[in-house]
Amino acid sequence: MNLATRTVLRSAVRNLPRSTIGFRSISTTAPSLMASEVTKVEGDKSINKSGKFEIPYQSWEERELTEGFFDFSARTLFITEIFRGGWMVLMQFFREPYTIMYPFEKGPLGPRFRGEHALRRYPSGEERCITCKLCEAICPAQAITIEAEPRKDGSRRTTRYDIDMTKCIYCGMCQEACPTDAIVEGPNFEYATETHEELLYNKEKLLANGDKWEAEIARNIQADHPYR
Amino acid sequence: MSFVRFVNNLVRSTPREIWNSFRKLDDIKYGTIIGIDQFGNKYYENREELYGRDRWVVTAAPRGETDANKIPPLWHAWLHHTIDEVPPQGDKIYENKPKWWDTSKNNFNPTGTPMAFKTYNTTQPKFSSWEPKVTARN
Repeated sequence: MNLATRTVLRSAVRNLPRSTIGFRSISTTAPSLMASEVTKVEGDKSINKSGKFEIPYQSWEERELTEGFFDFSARTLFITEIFRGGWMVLMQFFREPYTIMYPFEKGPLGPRFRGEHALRRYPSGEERCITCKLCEAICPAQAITIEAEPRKDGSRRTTRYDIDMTKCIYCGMCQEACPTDAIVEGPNFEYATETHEELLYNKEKLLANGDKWEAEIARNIQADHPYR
Repeated sequence: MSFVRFVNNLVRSTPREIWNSFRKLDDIKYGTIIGIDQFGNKYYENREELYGRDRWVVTAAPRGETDANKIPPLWHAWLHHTIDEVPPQGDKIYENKPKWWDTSKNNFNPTGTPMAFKTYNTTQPKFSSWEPKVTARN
């Protein structure tokens, strides 16, 4: 089917009443209400005769009319869709799986990751927290509760440092506010529990977290240090 | 091509490695042993794998008892691609390990067991219950 014939056929289809060829536009808006293009590109098929923009669309019948003979034959005789689909499945079958086999393999994590909270200590073993209550004040979820009392040696330390981990939104405001880097959000996120009660952390639990994760927390803070 | 990789890994691994790898990773992987931590977990690396799958651990614990908490902190960072050096080193400050620093602490998730964390009050009670003092009657 040469170009002239195809053009004639296409224009014939265009001029047919819509009901005859089963034309269905994607939008149900009346054509007169559609926005028209400001610049009209010559030969652009998406601009119709009245100068309105039209989404290029071929109905099934229109496609069959304008389709080349060999295209039609190939599609019908060789059933290419089935083989193309089968080939896709086969390739995916032999492809290396992207699935990360947690917990043996794990995704990348930056040093700024904000996970489970921890209270840190100085290398001497002294708690860093001085009960300034800045974290409690800034916490947008009001998850932190602090009470203070002077210790026997006169230093100011917390007697209560509770975090409700179910209230916490892990925004990291507490560690930003902390002047002594005492409260930090560590790299651990694997502390799922069965009950709500287990996530109501008190001071001892937070300090124990710090004791375990200190090496990595210190390392992460060191890595982030040039950017602060 | 994954089939080539599969055959390669199969040929290069020992039967025991194949068994462990298939049991735990559902895949046959081959890599160089980067290190073994204090719990006996073995850490492997193969840079030819996809990013995110190029570092993995074969845990000492059997498959059913595998727990992500059994991986000590710095190896955790290495496994998560946070740090690259092996064996992972802590901050320079902690070359002389402080007494309180214990990476073997809390190395399993105790939820659902009697050891599960239950919060408690760390302060002195603000008020005490009334203790009646009975004066003797005549």
